[in-house]
Amino acid sequence: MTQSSHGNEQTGGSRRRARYEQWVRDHSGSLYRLAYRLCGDAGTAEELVQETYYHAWKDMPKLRAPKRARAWLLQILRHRYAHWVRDQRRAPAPTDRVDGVVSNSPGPARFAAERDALQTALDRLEERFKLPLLLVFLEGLTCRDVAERLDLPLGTVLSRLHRGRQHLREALRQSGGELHDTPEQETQQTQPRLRLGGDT
Amino acid sequence: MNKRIPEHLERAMEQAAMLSPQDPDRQAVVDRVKAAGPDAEAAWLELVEEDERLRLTLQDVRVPDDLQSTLLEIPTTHTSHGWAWMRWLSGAAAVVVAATMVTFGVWSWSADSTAGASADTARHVAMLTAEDLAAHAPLTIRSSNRAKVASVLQAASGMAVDMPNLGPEYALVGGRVCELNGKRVICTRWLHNGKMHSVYQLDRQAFGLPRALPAQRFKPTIGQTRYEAVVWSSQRCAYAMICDERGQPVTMRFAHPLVTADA
Repeated sequence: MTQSSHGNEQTGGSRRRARYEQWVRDHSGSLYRLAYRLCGDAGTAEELVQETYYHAWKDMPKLRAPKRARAWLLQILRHRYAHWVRDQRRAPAPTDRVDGVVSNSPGPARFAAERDALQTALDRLEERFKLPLLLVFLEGLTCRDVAERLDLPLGTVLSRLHRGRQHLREALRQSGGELHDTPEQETQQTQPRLRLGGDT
Repeated sequence: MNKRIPEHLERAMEQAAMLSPQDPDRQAVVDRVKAAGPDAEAAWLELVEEDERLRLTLQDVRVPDDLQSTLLEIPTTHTSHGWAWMRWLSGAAAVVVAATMVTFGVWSWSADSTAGASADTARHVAMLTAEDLAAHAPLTIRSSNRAKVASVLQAASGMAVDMPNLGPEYALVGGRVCELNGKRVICTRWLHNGKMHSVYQLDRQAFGLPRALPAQRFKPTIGQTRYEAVVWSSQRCAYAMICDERGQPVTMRFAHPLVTADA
């Protein structure tokens, strides 16, 4: 290997590393939020994001348009999540049973109890409604973007969003929970309400 | 919503509220709302505010402080250089390991009449680790620094931490101390090929496992998740490596650590 090509390789390696670090800084937070809202468990969400970045690092040379990194990362996360959902659905009967297990770790029931009402409602939502809803409300994608990425007609996306939101609203109503205002929102509400003309 | 608003407009409003403010379809619905009168306008504003609250509530998720540092460590343990070589070496190592295991297995079968009992104990250990893993317990420490993780776990458990040498392609994520059947156990978490693996280090004698137990593979199932676990022991302690069956099969990936751990 010539000195020049070795140098180029090093430059390419450090460029790749720099790009990866940029992706971590720019997108890991929002990917984690999405993962958490999708699966409803902090540990699983963290692992889904780690898996996503692992695959992003490994397959980075295959990405032809680095400007579309965010969309690409979202796509990887969706695939990792789909694997997770598939495994959750596979429900063979327990093959064995161990009695007398003593563990100092908190059980799933406790974690479930700690979830907020919105997350519980999301967990009950069918996957086909959940993903478009989160892509719009959490990722800020337009409905047209969601339709394109999920390869669905816009009408289907709108219909699923509509039904997803209705399910969410109904579930929250039944559980006695409702969308709570964050401190930031409370501050905002001291300001004048939205005006129709300003909304457009 | 208000009964005086036509159903078709109500539905159009619900859908339009989810479009971006610049979207012409949304603009068209807003025009219809304005034309429909004050009840429709009030309902529209309520809808828009509700969506905004939903958006903010969904974003209200606490991101772990160390998430970025954990992600930044991934390239350190998974460099692209030598991936082909790594795959080739893994394949070659798998063949050697398989041959060694067969030889060793035959030898241990003839030499040890308690092999059946050992297998039952190992199966029990595999089940215990799956039960523990299914509880999704948080890690006590998250770090890729072996010395740091070992030091924290040693202080927390009072046990000498003896991590198996899993090879450079396994990235340490962190660890915790737990109890299996009332016995203190050290659990470390590793990322390999995009999959999380947990390695439990057990007191071999306390669990009734023999010295230098050849690797045994089990598939315990807890609830809806099937796991793949390998149990083996070295001279000093016993190990159980386990991961849930997400993604591709992990059978051969277990082969590599078995050599180095028992060596």
